[in-house]
Amino acid sequence: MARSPATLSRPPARAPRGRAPSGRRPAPPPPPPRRPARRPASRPPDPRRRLRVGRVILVAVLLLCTLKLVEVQGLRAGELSADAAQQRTTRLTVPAERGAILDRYGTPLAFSVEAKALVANPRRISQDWNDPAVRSQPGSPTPDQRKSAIALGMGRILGLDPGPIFAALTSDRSYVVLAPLVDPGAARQVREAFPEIAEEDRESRQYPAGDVAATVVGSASWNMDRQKIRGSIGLESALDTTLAGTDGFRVVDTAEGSDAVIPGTTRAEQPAQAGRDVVLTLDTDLQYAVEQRLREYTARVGASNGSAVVLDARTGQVLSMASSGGFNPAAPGAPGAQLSNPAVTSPFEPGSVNKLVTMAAAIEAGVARPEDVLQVPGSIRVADRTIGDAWSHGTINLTLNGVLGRSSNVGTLMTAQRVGPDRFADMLRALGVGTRTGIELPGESSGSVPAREDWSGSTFGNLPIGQGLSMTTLQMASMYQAVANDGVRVPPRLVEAEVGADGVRIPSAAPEGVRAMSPETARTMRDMLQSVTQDGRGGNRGTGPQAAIAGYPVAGKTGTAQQVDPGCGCYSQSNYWITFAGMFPAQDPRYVVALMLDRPPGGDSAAPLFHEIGAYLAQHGAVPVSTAPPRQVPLTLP
Amino acid sequence: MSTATLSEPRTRTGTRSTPRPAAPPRGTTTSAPRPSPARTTPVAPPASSGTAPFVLLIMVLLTGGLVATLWLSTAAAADSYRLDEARQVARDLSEQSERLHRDVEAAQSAPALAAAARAQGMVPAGDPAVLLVAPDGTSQVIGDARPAQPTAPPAPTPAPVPPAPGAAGTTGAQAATDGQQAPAPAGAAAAEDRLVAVPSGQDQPEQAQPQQAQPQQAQPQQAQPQQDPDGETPQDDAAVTEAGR
Repeated sequence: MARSPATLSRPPARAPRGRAPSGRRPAPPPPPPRRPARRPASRPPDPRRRLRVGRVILVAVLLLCTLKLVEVQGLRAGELSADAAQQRTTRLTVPAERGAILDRYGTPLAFSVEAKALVANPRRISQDWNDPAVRSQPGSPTPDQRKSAIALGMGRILGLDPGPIFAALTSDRSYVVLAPLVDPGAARQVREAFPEIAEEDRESRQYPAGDVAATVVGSASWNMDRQKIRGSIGLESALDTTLAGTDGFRVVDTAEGSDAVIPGTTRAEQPAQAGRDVVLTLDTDLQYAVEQRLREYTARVGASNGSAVVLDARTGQVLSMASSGGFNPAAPGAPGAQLSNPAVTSPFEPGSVNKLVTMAAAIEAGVARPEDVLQVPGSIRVADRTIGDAWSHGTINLTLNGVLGRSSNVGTLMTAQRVGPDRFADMLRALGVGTRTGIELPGESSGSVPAREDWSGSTFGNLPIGQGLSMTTLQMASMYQAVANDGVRVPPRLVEAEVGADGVRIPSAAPEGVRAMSPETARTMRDMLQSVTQDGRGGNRGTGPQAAIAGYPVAGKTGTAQQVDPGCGCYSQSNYWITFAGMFPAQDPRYVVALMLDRPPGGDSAAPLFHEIGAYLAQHGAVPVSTAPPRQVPLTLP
Repeated sequence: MSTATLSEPRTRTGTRSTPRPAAPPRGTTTSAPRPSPARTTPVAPPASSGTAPFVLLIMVLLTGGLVATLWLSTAAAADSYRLDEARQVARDLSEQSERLHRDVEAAQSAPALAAAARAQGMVPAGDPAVLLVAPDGTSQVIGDARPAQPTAPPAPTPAPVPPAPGAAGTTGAQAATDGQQAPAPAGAAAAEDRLVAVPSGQDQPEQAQPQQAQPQQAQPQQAQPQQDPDGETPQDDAAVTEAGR
């Protein structure tokens, strides 16, 4: 800039000088008179002066330019470049793909696919088609005609009912979502047919197994505020940060007033970090089978609710966690949907299932042996309360096997008295009752156990028989898992590993096991618990022979607990929680199953349900059969 | 700048008609007083003969450059079309793969498989019996071997009684998927991965009896199909049996 005026102005200045000598040379040959002779010729302006003035002007201009340059480049550089950047620079978010939720064999329970939302501006459409220029053209549709054409066309392409689309288009708003989740190909088709329709990026969460494991996996849906898919229920919510990943960004220049990216203007780019996949310990096939059996059985006995948990006996991993209720994760708001997961959120009084604690404490402390014979009266008095058995009898001789197998309250309380409240409380704590298991699911309940110092006289008449304290189905399963795993309770876990976008598998930290009883006690307990499923005659029949599975010895315990009647604040005589917790094969357990049925009107046992689930598990897990004859021990002695 | 040095040898070069192309023209302009007509005449022809190839070269270069630029930009434009096309194909294919992946996952999910199996007339196996073969060749049956029982067709809502187990499977599938259906889907819904194909009708005659005869509390494994709230079991079974035959 500064140079060109100088070069342009010089030639005229030089040209006369150069030409003057050459032109005049013949006339005034001697050099000395050349100068005086020239002066009169260029009379008024002296070229040198002009030159000088020009130079000064040029320098001044240059100086001005320099000053401006300093100002623009130096003094106001930051401000101006910020302004410029603001005009052009756009920060585009690169969405991170949400991780999938897989079962233990890699079967997807939830994954994301790309989708588009089709949106429109109804006011704008009305405006455009009401434009006089458009209206003056013959045959151009009115806005309403156009809108109905759009609605019909979209309905045809997407296979939707055009009614709601038309209603949305005719509303007096500037932004309506016509179809929230559309296949990208179909969305493109719609936009090509109707330029008024715009599309927005969405992510569609797929739940291929439908409602299977829905209460565990939960549901995620598009969040308009965050412009991102967010988990709202179950693991989708609890593991949201892991699954969501981190959005990346791209700073680019865009043409002003539009979103068109100017090619090659990417200034900064941070790729999105895709969310991690979560591998669960669940087995989808087993989950489906357990859910079906539970729902069918719950419905058959007329229970208002039921839940089931299947644990791996060694690792404490949750293989299945089912609830009789459920919901469709694709439409969690549908009527009749049960969004909670009662297996971890709803504690209940376990009933006789809790007799395990008394027996384990007694065996562990050495105050009783399975073969010991107890003279069990018809009822027992603990503090101010009299507790009887479920069946009326006079004084009978029950072995400790029989006390557990026939579920004698009196016999259990007699044993509990010998164990003492402190050892009982210790065992209760060691078995994890009253503390959360720490499973990854949201909203886990810890259940409730009265604090040791708050125990009244009658408390110790309630707790050993499973009343006056509450636990979740998961805690109940965990309790029996300790017995199955030679006395070490491994807190149940649902997340086996996380798999990063790079395919690297990060196994979840194995939870610390808690030793609740010695391996010998655990083995003895497994033997004693087989008395429950023993099918003998008369007094040698346990309370749950229906749970037995041919070829597999089953160790378990039935339970029936009275519910508190909110009307009188007393225990109801008609509403029960029916429970069953057990394991098989009894000598070397592979599976632990805990079941709970809420208020079956007939008070049916849950043992048949255990059988159904167990028989499936035996096939599904290819558990080797046992050829030994079923264990038969005397429960009642004459 | 270079005029001084260049004008010096000009006296020689002019006579020798040196092919140096740049020197003579410059010399003529800068040192005007010196040239003589005798010298300038012989200088001109060599000067023009030296410039022509240079100009030609420049022209060739320019034309070549122009052609190359045109060709490159045309090629780039053509490539951008091809790139665009390829991008579209890639996008379509990735969308298709995503769609297929979704369909495959949905089709091989447990409820879909159970529904498909039921549609083919398969029924859950129930309690298996195990044949245990000892090393010495003797064998032992553990458990009670009995044919798998087709379950009563579910009666969800007021749907008509399905004529055949195949059709029953389809309706049962819906019941199984929403899972909330009350007792009706009973056994039908309890499909699993161990499904035993029962040629429709073969086992029905024997089963109709136990189902009708046995009360609810009978054997647990048989309990599934018995309790039908609508009391439709007999008719349903009859329908199934008939269709099966």
